Amino acid sequence: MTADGHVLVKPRTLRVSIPAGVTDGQQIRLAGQGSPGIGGGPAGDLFLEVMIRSHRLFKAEGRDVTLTLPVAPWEAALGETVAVPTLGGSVDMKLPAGAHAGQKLRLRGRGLPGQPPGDQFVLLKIVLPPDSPRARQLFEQMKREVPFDPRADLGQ
Amino acid sequence: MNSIDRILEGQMLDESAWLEIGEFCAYLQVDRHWVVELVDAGVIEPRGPAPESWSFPASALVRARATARLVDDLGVNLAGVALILDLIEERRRLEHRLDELERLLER
Repeated sequence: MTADGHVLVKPRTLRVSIPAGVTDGQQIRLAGQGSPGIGGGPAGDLFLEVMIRSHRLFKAEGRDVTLTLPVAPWEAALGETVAVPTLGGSVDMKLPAGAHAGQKLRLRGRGLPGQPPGDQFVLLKIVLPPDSPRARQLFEQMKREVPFDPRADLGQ
Repeated sequence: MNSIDRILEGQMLDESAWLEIGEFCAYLQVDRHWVVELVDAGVIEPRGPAPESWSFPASALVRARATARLVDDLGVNLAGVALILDLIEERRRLEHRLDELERLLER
């Protein structure tokens, strides 16, 4: 505020440390960083409202995060151990044998930190190997030797 | 030291942060009567039996600030404000859900 009572807007940039575990919609209060008080009074506080930008791999909801994990059909069928990226680095996760696409597995406590910390959910997505004569040959062999009708439940 | 070099540490207002009514008014720089009006109109919900023992979740700060803008800038009454804020929150929730579903479809 100027001496003649006009309001002056002066943008300024602050560097702020983001507390671990802050989630979408929460606020960070910076004491004394707001507008100066009237007549030389103490400045007010500045409140920042946090918006979490979506990440290429991780999707946060509250403190929980979800990651879609591509797995090969045999990894899902046999229940292999696969490396899964988490916020704290890669961890090994044993898939249940016969895991199916769309199945959600939980890595307890691997979400955003807090009291209690969130969980990481791993959503399985089954991907086929790139087309090749050998892959085709093996699929042909399965077709002949593994009797399976994925549409048996449709009742047609 | 240049102010931009200094790293400020703030207070995190998460869902566990409940603000006593005095603190709530001080943060918003508003009068207690105005807060009582917001509660009466259903804009914010306190915890506690009587105004002097009320406390509010940190999310009520955001609603109270938005109320001040809607009332001062657009002349909306408090019943209208409660409805607008509920609709904005519902819209945000749906947008969030839509984003999530669109991401699933992209994969």
